[in-house]
Amino acid sequence: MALRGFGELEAAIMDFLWSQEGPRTVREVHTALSATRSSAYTTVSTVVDNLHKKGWLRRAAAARGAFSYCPVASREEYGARLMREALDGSGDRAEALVRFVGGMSDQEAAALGAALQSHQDRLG
Amino acid sequence: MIAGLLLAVAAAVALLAPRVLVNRSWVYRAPVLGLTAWYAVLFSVTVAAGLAALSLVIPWPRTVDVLCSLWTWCADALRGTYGLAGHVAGAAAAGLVLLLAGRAALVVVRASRSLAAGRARHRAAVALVGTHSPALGVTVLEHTGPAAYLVPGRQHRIVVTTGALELLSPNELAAVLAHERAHAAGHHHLLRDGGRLLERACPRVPLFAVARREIGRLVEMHADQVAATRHAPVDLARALVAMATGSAPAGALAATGGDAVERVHRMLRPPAPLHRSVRAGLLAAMVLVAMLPLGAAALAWAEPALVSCLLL
Repeated sequence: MALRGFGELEAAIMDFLWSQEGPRTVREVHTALSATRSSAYTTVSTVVDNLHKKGWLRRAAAARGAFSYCPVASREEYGARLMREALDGSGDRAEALVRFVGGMSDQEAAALGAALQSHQDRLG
Repeated sequence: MIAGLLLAVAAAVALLAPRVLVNRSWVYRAPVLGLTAWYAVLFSVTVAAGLAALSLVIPWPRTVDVLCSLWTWCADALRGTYGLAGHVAGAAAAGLVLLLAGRAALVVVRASRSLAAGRARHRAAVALVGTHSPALGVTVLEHTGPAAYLVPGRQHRIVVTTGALELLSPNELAAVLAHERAHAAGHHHLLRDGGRLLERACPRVPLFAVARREIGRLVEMHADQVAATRHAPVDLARALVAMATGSAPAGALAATGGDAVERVHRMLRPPAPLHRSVRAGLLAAMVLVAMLPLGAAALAWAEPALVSCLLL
């Protein structure tokens, strides 16, 4: 349960930082999150630091010795990366409905469409 | 002698299996039976090869119990029962066999760890990037390319892209999710991992590469079949075609386009199931194949003269 809550906090922090234009400090993250959840400042700070160590956040020095953080890549970029990883040729990570290395040729796409069409013709 | 017979058994099964199991209609008419057949073959080949390796380091026949005689041999060798030359030769042979077996075991352990770690990393990343949809019981990933997949494991997760949600009708989506849930319920990733690990441990054995590919093909067919019991097959077929053609960057090569076409045909015109007697006959044959190495070992132990006749 504790682990799950931690994951949710990570997701909430990433959600917030993805929604922002520029980098934000831990203080700003904590303030923004306290509207919807009651996480201690130190907890938020630890989780932000973890996300930085795991390579999700980039860190830069901000005013008064604090750090500010922003996502290394946009949500869309991460999404695309995950999709590539899941649907790559090896299939080690995921069981996909259809898997293609970089897509399919026009010929194969046409063959697929034709297979479906011939069934509809038979029915109709 | 026993090693020769066992290696002959392993080689024969490894050479014949692809001819008997690839592109045979009965295998695809009954994917679960096909999967059983592949595992019977893999079991037979690995056990025969393992027993052959074991028998090389054991003076045969000494005792019925293989492990027992290994210990006896070790103890005898240490005592110097076979003389210095025998001692050295035996130790070298045992060392080589142990080295090869150890290396294969190490590859398997490392590969299975890296598979599990990769999936766990992927699951964690999906949890951060995607949003959970309690209504669908899936994680939705913001992405225009339509796709649906299962990240397997104890805490498996079904991932669907926003592109897929936009593209598919509710019925099509339900069929797709049923397909992915069938993968999870059938522990298909474990079946596939068996093939993957064997191929990585022994990359030079062509049988394992064929087995890995065919097992992958059969689990897809099985998941399609399970999904089709509760959903209209045409919905799954439509979803498959839509997702296969919808995510296509132009001019690239397809890896499994042929399989996709084959699966669409299967969904729309499901092949007749095998008759019960045929299934029983095939199952008996599989048990026979799986038991072949043990039978061969028993034969060689009981009738060494007969075996040397057979081999020469």
